[in-house]
Amino acid sequence: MKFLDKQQRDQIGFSFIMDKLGITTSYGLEERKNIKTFKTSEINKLKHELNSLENIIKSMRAHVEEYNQIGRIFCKFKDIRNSIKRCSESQTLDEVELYEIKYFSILVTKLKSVLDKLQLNIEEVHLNSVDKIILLLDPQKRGISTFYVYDEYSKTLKCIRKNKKQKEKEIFTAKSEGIASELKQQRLDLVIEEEEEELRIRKELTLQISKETEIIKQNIKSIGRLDFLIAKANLSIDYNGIRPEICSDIKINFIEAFNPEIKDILEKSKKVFTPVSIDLFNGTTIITGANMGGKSVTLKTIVLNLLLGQMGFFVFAKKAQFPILDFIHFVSDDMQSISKGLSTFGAEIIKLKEVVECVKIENGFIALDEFARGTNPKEGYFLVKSLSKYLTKFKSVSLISTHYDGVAQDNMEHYQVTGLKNVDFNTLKYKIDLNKTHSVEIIQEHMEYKLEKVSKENKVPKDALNIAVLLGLEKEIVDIAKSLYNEEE
Amino acid sequence: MKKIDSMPSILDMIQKYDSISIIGMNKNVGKTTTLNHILREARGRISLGLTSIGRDGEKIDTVTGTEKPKIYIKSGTIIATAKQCLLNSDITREILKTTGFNTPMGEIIICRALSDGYVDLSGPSVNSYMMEICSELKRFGSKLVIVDGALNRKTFASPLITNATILSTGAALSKSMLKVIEETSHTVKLLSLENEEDNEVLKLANEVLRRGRVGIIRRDNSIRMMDVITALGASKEIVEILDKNISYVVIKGAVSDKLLEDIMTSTNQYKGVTFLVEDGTKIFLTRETLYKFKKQGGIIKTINKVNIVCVTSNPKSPYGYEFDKHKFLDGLRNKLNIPVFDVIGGA
Repeated sequence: MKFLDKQQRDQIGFSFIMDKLGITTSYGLEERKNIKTFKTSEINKLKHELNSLENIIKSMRAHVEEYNQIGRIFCKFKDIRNSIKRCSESQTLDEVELYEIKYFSILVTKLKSVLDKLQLNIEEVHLNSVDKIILLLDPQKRGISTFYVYDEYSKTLKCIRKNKKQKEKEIFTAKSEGIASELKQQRLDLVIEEEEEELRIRKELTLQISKETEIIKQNIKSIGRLDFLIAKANLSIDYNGIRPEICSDIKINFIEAFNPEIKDILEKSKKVFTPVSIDLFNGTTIITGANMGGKSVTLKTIVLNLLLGQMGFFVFAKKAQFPILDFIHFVSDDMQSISKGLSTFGAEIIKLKEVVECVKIENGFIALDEFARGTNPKEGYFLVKSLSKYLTKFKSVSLISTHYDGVAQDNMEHYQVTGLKNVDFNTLKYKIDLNKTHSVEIIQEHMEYKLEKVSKENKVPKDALNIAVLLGLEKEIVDIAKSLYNEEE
Repeated sequence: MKKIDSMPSILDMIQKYDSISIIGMNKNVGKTTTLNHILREARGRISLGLTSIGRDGEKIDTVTGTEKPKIYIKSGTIIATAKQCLLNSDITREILKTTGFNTPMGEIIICRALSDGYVDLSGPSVNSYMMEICSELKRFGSKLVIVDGALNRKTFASPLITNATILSTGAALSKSMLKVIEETSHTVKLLSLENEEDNEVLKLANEVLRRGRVGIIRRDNSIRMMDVITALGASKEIVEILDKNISYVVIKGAVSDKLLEDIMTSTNQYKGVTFLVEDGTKIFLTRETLYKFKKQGGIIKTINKVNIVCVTSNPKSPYGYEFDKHKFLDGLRNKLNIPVFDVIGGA
């Protein structure tokens, strides 16, 4: 999977987004099912898709009532694709199928009249006129959706039915059971004649409709596209999405990006999501920071928004810019292969091999979440360091989160989670002393999840030691640790 | 009830309702004949809507191999039936709507008969779908909706779906006429069990039905819900909670012999307590158990009333024997205090 497997899509909150899409018609669901990322060569197509989305959003804001109407029409659409397929294979349609095609055509006409008013100017949701079909299936020109094999189709049919009606009257008024059953037999003969004539007419109707199947298929596609676009637009409106800028060189910029699934979860427990702002270039970028500092959330947020952007969605940020990517890989220690019996580390290495093969031939995005966390710290450190160094030479963008210090080199970008850096240590200690039972929560509250760029002069933060002090670790241990820190410096 | 000379017709009796179900005590008791009888009486008088519970109206009875009567409807009737059955019907028909409810015989289609003719009925077999279908039939103009049912699916006679019921019985049930009469009388008794009259209690009982499976109402009108998965296995919990302060036990779902037997053998506290059941279609008790329960001071009432309008009887059995039609009819009329019609023999 060049753009994450199912389980990874669940993890980063992509499946959450797909579930949030309020799609009504089976045609729209088909569009969602066939959702694809755009290829580098399809930049114009992607831009076109984003244009369409932008148009719809603008239009939806200005025409609320019309879109409610569209929603109500969508609810009535049934899946007639099977009948259309049968029709184009010249299998005779039954009355129910003919009814469904008529009803579908009436709905299309209604939808078309609403769309015409909106003047959307989006070619892929254009609807063809189906007046020909309606005329064919509504010979009485009554404009209602019900259907039967109308007398108007044939004089013979009309005549048979007239005779049949007469027989039925006679049956009702028959003097004896014997006479009635004889009349019923005569009626049966007329029923057979009627059915034969109806079949002939249905064959003719099927033939006429089969000439229109291309038009119907195009309409089905347009309805699906429109349903899907409206769903995407609603999602974007609900979460304040924005149009990403698609650039042609390899650089990624997010200002205040967020992840709707994680944001929703946090908000339910009355917590705030810290938006992610970051600049990424080809080569390696390192994110460091204490445990629980939100590094994984940062990675998931970036991966999610990049993936959505590749698929022609609006993204969740104040501003976003990125190119079309050939792949998106996400290596984390909760990957699927772990459940297949590989150790965490083993699974990471297997996945990494695949990633490296991709990097050699194409340009994409790689996120590594705490790579080699599961192995011993010294070896882990070396592995992360070598991997970071190796990935700098490619055009792909690699983002590596780690809690090992000293991985970042001069030719890499380096971010860290701000953590407790800007907190007045004594005030915080005082607060904790006042309310010792909630010390962990108090620290979490003061933890700053924002990313900041690290320059060479910046000191390595001692958040681990600080937290230990705040939580009241034995002073003697802290003192020994402090002396060790000093030796290092 | 003795025979009254100027007895009203079945149609006269059901016309005041907007939906009725016909349920049969068994196969071949003349349910379809009853239906055809009503359809004939209704011709030109009332616009009907028609559907059935699951599949019915097969041409040949699968058990006895005898030819079964077919349903003959008149022009203008609205029917709801599965697509495959609709295409088997010989009426000229106008398709009004597809419902999206699927059955093994295809999607349920609503159509209007444009001619008289035979129809093959196969409606939904899920209660909530049936409710929806009935209201669709009314929406398309049916003044009276008839649901062709079956006793083994008697929950469809529930007042939540149709507001009156006709019970069909006949010789096919047993070779012993006495037994047929007793069983029919017992079924009528269960279905038309006394309804709770106190509005305050009914309100509380409905609250219990909304909240869970089994609950109790105390004398001070407070409610307590019991933590049980089904009413069927709730006897232990009910026994444990019963005491002098409880006036009602409200049970959602089926009430079986076992439930009452278990209660009767474990405690005396049920005497004087009223057991409230959703409606008569949810009671599955043998004559013996019901008798014992009532005899020992148990009270069982319903929350919603099933209106049994009448019973129809069929003295002929497709298994090759028949009862004396007058004796049978008189026997039923003596036992039941609702009208009984013989739609086969014509009395």
